[in-house]
Amino acid sequence: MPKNSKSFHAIGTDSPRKGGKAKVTGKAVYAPDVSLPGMWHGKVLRSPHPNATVVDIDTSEAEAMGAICITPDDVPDVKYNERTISVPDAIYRDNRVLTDRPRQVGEGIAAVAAETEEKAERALKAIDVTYEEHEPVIDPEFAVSDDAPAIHESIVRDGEVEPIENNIAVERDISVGDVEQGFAESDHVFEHSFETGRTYHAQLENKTTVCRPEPDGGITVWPTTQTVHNVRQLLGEIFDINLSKVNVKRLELGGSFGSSIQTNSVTPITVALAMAADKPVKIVSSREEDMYDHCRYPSKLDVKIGANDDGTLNAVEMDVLADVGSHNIQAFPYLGVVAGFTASLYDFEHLEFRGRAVYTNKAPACAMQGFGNPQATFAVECMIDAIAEELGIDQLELIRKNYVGEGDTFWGQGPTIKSVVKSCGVEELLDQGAEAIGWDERTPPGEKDGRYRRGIGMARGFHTSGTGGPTPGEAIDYSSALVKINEDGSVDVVSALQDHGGGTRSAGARIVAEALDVPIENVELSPTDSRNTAYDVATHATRGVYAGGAAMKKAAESVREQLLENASRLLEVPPDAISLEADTDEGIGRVFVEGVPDKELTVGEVAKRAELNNWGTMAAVESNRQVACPPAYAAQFVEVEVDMETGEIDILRTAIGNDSGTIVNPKLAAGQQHGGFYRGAGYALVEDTQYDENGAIDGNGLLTDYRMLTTMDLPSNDETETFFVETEEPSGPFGAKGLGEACINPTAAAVANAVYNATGVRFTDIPMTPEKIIGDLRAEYTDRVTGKPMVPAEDDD
Amino acid sequence: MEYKLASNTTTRVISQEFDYSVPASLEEALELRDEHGDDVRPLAGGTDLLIQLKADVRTESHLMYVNGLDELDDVSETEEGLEIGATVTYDDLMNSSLVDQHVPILAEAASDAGGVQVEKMGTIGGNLCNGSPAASTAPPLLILGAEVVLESVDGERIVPIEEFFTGPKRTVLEPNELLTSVRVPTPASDRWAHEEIKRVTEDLAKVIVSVSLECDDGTVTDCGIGLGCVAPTPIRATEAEAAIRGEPATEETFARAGEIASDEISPISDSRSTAEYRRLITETKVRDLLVDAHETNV
Amino acid sequence: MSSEKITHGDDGGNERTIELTINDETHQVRVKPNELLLNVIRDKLDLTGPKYACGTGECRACSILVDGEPELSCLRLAVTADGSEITTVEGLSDGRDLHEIQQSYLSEGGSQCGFCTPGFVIMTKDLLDNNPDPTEEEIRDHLKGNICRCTGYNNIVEAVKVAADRSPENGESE
Ligand SMILES: Cc1cc2nc3c(=O)[nH]c(=O)nc-3n(C[C@H](O)[C@H](O)[C@H](O)COP(=O)(O)OP(=O)(O)OC[C@H]3O[C@@H](n4cnc5c(N)ncnc54)[C@H](O)[C@@H]3O)c2cc1C
Ligand code: FES
Ligand code: FES
Repeated sequence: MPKNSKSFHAIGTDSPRKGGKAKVTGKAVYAPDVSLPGMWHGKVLRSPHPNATVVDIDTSEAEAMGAICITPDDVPDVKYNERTISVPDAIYRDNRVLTDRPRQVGEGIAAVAAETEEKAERALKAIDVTYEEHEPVIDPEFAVSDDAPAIHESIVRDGEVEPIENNIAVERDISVGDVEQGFAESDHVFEHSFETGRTYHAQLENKTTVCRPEPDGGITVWPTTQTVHNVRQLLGEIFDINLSKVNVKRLELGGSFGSSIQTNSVTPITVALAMAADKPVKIVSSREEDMYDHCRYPSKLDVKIGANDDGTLNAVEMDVLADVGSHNIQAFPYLGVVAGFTASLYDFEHLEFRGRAVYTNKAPACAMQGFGNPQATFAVECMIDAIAEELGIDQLELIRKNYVGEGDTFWGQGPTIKSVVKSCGVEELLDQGAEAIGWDERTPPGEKDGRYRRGIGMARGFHTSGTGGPTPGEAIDYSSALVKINEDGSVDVVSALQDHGGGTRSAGARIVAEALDVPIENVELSPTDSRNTAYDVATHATRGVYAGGAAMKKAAESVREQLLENASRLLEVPPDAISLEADTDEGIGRVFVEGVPDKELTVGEVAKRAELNNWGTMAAVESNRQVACPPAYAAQFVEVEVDMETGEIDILRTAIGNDSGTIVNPKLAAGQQHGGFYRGAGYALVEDTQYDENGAIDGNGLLTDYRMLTTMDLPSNDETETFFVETEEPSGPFGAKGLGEACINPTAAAVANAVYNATGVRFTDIPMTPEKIIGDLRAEYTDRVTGKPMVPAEDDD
Repeated sequence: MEYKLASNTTTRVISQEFDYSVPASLEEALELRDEHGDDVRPLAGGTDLLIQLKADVRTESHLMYVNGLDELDDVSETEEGLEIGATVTYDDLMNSSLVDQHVPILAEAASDAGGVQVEKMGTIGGNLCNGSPAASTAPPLLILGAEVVLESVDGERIVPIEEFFTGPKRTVLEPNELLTSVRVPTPASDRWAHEEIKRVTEDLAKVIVSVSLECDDGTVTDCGIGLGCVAPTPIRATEAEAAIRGEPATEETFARAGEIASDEISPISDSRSTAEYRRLITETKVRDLLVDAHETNV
Repeated sequence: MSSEKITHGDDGGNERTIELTINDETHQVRVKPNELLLNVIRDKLDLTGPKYACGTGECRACSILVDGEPELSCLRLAVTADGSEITTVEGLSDGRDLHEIQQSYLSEGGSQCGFCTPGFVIMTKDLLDNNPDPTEEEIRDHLKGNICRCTGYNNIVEAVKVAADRSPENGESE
């Protein structure tokens, strides 16, 4: 039960999500479903070379076929960064709508539009491009060497041109205390190196945009996005159109996982094409184009931790090399949060962080669920397991002794935003998870034998609820909402807040219903666009409910004041004497004076009579920035079985716990836990995009080459336990914190620790594919038939 | 598949244009093939061909839909075993009582191929004619000693499945021919096992292993080891088979079969696995499956 | 029926009319042989429930029933479906009344972003039509080819179980 004094009527109940009916009937409209009269179809000509210069483009044949073509010469010469939510100083501009200097396979060179997609595709193939190829830079270690060719000569930051040296996009060093002193004072110093994969978001909706040029010189745009306002601002800047004439529509979003915080690469291309064609144009990326468009930041992390015999963790040193690919979308904040997440996991007195993010000729990396946290938590939580074993302390004890919890300073969103933790359920998460998985019965690796070995592991973590804080910081973080009461007592919530499917908007509706004391059935979310809403930064960083919901609450509270004021005039009592109550049986909100039976109205009656009296509409629009970004804690426990001969890892059971403050939508919240665990398990076991030496994705570059766990590769529902520890976050709407990203952060370490517990081998390079781990496993294993130790076979060459 | 979709083809549409015919009978289909050869490409379930057309790894001027031909969609009993029509789907194989009775390994292999929708669409003829080293039905058909029936207007020829594949995406099928059926003799022994090793449950295989075993009084009298994804074509591990015939049916013997099999293959590294892993897993799985087959209650 | 030969023409040269009965409505549609059934359903018949997400058979968001059998509309030429009866996700609900499968995806949280949902709902229909009371193992096996990137599948499995319980065959109505 929530620790709140108030019992809720809308929050914490399980009625179906808003907009869900459209989804289950196939009627929900996503960007690829938008079709306009007279619309043409666009296709992007993409570089087949990872590093090249375009010498010549001949579009004459395509144009002779009746297609409209655009090349780098036809687009505005504006250097931009597709992600616009940081302060200017933290925005590294190195991109262009179409380029004659492709830096990865799949980068857009030209585009065509024609009446049908088939025809556009044929026209595309008729374009003749002459390239001068350059040596590709695939390996990030090579990228920083003096032998590597320059991928970008320079970039633009806050209006200044800055040279790029050794392909280093960003370098960021952060230090607290004196780490050398910390190590000197420690009884033990532990060191490990970790490597994480190039995960692809694989959101089901491929990046899409429809653009219609308007007669007044403006544009209307239907894009795949997590943020209509930032798309609007970027398009206004690139195409030099007043923002009042750039309208970006919010649609259903077929998943994203961070890949549409920035404006998608096809969006400005579609706009340029539509303006050239003077017609509505639609571009839907194919899956194979999408696979070259974005991925998670793959990182190498060298970690050193100093600890005392009693388990006190004193100091941490971390060296990170992140591979950003062809463009630097947000490497600066990435390095900042890797440091911040590390610092905020455990109470290290000394920290030394050195981060480098380097360009390579591959798909650009960007945020993906957890943004830096899955990487940092994987490394740190594997270390914690190893340290606990070395020191002979139970892992849970070691965590309890050192975690950052209530009253401690938290700077998860990087060094510029610090706040104090006000709500924390870590102890309960550890207790309940341990109970669910049977932690106390866990045996050490040395006691396992045989071919199939089982092990239990756990990891802990958190994610920030948004990027807010008492001071402005490096990223913009605020939301806006308009709330108004209609003449029948129903309520419209008008907000640009986006929903990826997690139920963010539904949760917002519940918060408004709760704040106004009307039944949830009476609150609806209006269709919105960038023109009819005030700014909302984006649904990212696990801020949707905590920050977006808070803005809705603020607007609802202001409307509540108006409701009380109007009711006071109608009932002829002071506002303080009036009570509000949601009558969920009747489906109405009641306005009444306690103990005076004839002094009662419905919310609808108040609204209608206010209108008849010409008092105005009860409505308010508010913007709100949260003054903190409190940690939403998570702990995950798993049991695995490892086949020592084949290297196959099977996840048998899991217990997934979260402290997200008050839970607004219980069933949808559990869905976040399941989904986070599933993607985390994929991150740990299979998901990766490997590139060959020619800069192409291994295989055919089809979805066939990117595997994700299926229904059959995860524990059954009975073996999947989810639970919440409901704390109350004072700064959150009705005590709520974030949830989404917290659900993936500990997963990879929990799985890796379980594999260690099963096998006695610690794998630090994820995904742990059978191909990568079989050698070490077999070295640990004695063949049951021949009695000979099984050693990995020699390579062919 | 050896093509790259790195750029400028799309899986959203087929942009190339072609003619399309629906022959009313096998005879008419063979006439079309005779007249136009490979300029008339047979289309069955389309689960391989359509992807190749999207990717432009093939350019076709004319497709001929063979899925509606009555002559090709039957499973029937013959003196030696079964005759399976070319357009019989995976789903048909999984649900056929004749297949269950005569060659259950084929139903098992079919159930590994592609999940429900692909099982409904993909055909055995398409699977074989596509000529992939990863064809799910090939390893069991190899160890069963199946034959394919190739027909043209000039008549039919029977080709043992071992001779049908000539390389990746290459078979002995002539431009004027259609594969009309697969003849599968009923095996003498009920001891068999089949497994596809995959990255995740629904996937093309890293390695496919099918085994059959005949034993007499604790001695291996005959055995079959069919392998997929470890050579340019699906193959039989003939050296491993020969090495254990006449040997005691023990785990040591089966382990030796695994070792020899892993030496006689020529796997490559690709996006699904590495050459090295394919060898290791072949060794382990050949042994495991022979043990399983041996332990089958017959 | 004799073989229909069509001249190989440039744009518009080899169009033909096919008949598709979709969700009980019969349509005559002009298509070229290279047009995919998925695109014809979405663009020419305006049923945008079935989704493109991979075009290679891997995601199954394009799943539909063709003459009662679950198939991938991204790997089927529209011309080969001439004369077929097709069901898409839109065909399950009766007016504004949800089918019990849709109802259970909604109530159990089996749909998050919803992009995969049209494919899952169709596959659930196929499963329950043939096996009204499936075990969890059977449910998971039947859906193993369909990708959902959001849910982790637990609530989808739950939705199928609840739909089975609610189905008229199992005697329980709401
Ligand atoms: C998602 C997915 C998963 C898959 N998983 C697997 C798997 O696990 N294992 C596996 O083996 N395959 C798999 N496949 C590949 C494919 O489904 C099978 O190979 C299938 O059996 C092909 O049959 P089809 O009828 O669809 O062939 P089509 O695509 O119609 O034809 C394939 C080729 O065979 C030719 N052809 C077809 N019939 C004849 C005939 N009668 N005579 C002469 N030539 C003919 C065609 O011209 C074409 O060249 C998968 C495919 C997909 C899309
Ligand atoms: S679009 Fe058809 S299976 Fe993915
Ligand atoms: S709900 Fe988003 S992909 Fe399934």
